[in-house]
Amino acid sequence: MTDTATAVRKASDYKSENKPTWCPGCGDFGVLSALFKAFAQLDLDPKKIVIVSGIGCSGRLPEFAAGYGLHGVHGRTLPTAMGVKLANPELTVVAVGGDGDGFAIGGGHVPHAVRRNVDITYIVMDNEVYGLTKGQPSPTTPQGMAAVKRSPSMPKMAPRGVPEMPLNMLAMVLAYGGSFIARGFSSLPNQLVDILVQGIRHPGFSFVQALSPCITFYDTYDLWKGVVEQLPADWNPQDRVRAFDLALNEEKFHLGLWHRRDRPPLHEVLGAAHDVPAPERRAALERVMDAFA
Amino acid sequence: MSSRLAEGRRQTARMINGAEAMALGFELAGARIAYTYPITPQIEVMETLSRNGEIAYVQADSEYNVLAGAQGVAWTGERCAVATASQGLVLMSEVMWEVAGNRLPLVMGVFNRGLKGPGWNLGAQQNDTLFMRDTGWLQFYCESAQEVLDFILIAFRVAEESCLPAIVAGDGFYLSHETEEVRIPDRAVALAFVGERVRSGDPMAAGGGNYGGLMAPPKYSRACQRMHHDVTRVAAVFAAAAAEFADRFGRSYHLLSPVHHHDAETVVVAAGTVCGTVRDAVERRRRRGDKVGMVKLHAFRPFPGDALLAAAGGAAKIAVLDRNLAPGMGGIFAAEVRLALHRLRCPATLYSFVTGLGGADVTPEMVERALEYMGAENGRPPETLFLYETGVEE
Ligand SMILES: Cc1ncc(C[n+]2csc(CCOP(=O)(O)OP(=O)(O)O)c2C)c(N)n1
Ligand code: SF4
Repeated sequence: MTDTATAVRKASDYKSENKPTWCPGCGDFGVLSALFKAFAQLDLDPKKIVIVSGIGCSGRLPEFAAGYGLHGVHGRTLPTAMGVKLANPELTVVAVGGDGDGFAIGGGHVPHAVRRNVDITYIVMDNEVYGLTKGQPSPTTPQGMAAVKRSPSMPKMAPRGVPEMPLNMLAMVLAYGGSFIARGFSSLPNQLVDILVQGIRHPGFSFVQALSPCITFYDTYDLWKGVVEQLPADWNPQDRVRAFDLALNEEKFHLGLWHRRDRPPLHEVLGAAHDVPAPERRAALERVMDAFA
Repeated sequence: MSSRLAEGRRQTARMINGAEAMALGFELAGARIAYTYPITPQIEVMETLSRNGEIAYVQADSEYNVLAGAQGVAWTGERCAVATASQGLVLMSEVMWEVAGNRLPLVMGVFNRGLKGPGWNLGAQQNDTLFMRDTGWLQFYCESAQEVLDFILIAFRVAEESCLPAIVAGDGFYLSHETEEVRIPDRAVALAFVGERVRSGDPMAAGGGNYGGLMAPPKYSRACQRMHHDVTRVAAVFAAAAAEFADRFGRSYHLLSPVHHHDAETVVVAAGTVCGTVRDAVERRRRRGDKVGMVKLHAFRPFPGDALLAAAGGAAKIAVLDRNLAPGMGGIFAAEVRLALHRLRCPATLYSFVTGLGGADVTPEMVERALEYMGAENGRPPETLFLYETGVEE
């Protein structure tokens, strides 16, 4: 890839002085390192990167990255990231958070960020559990006893099994009109780097489900290693109907770029305000202020 | 011993923490459904409820849904268990007003925790519940796990009799996670105390119980006025319920409880677990002959201003310790006390100490330092002082 050949920055340039505080073996390490590698491949200036996160173990990610980070309140990741991007489209804006942050408490924001096609990359670090609050079922935890049996914490909260069926985030984002939808696995870092590079480049809302096991409260490493599978060789990411069909019927976790289509990102649609150069904006403002002088 | 007390004496002593006491309180009060969402340090409440399996348990998708869902339960006339903390409570804000306005007698347990202001915080701070000051919810503060359990039961009685929702609050971790011996009432006696849920007094149920529609200003303002009066009248409802509670279970509660106040020249007012620390410091000073007393506030709404003045109005100096802060105004309990002093024309000088923010330790030595500061200071004190281990700062 030409980016690698021309890149002058290294993945380590994107590290902050804060060492990750995740449990040893947490899948989130893989996501963080893939993100740094993707930044390096794209040779992004760390000062032009903003990472916005919600609350959760995954939400701590911005603290570990150089550049700008905002560790916001639980579930409000996407609106904040959208505000940053609209105000300054030159920035690379990455939103990160857990399955709970994005699809429980913050679930109401997902359809709107997707349909507006805000030009950000949203990485959902999906461990199918609430990690930070010590292991309760999340909206992606499998129904019944399957997950409870694997978890040291879930028997306390769901002794008779998880009552609700899990939601299907890929099908949801496809239905909302997502313009870039991919799934990676923290244990397959090269593919995840590639997905993130493409996602950051994509002009629009890039949705990345990053499977990222919680070794402490719901250890799915072995389980997931057995059920991940690459998308078929003849996969056409433009084929939304096929993607939807697979999303609704898959029994495995298919990895790769599920769907992509061109739609103008929101800041381009809103256009005008951003097209006026800063000095002219200032002059216009001064004219307004003069009227009150 | 009255026969009721004999009956109530059938209590079991168990070593449990405040979170378990809260969960037990809901079970004993006959809650049918529990609505919660995980948040530290409330998680142990939901874990206990779900482990015991006596109450149908729903883990909602956020606290917003928790309170909206609980409101639905309360509407049907059933009792609901609701517990939260910090961010969870402030996320409920919009529905807090609605629940109180609809006069639904929900009872919510809260373990106070600092809000996300300058950064994340897990320690005890009362800003979460105090932020709900104007909603119409009653607010009771506890010092021990025993009080948490007892106040949940009393709160159901009071809430249902006055058609107003109630918060039972305690400091996160200090109370939620500390284990102590708690006397657990017999189930049947507890239920007999809380009583049947009667809906006849519900001011919103008249005319078919259609809640929440558009209300013209004259009706709206009268409804607000009525709510105001009903909150103030809770003092009498509480007194009656607490008297019956004492009769049945042998533990007696008031909206505030004074210690050594009769001859006190200086009185320290506080709410929550810090009261134990204050008591310690007051006893130390008493042993040295200082005329110091304290008032532990159990209630913030209704605010027992008259009772406070009756207990502490004779002192020359009153200190209020606040584990909370309204930036620009100071301690929130202190503001209420200031108002009460002013309203009742009490000449005592008020010292407002903000301390223990974000769960920082408050020690008896710190309280003594505050008392020394008050002893030395004879002019008009600054409106707000900050009390640290290192001393008093402006
Ligand atoms: C309003 C609010 N409610 C609850 C919480 C408590 N809380 C913190 S993180 C979290 C869920 C974490 O799970 P997830 O988002 O999946 O992230 P993970 O920790 O698994 O990475 C919860 C419920 C909170 N911080 N704010
Ligand atoms: S609790 Fe789970 S999600 Fe959180 S850091 Fe540990 S392994 Fe990772």
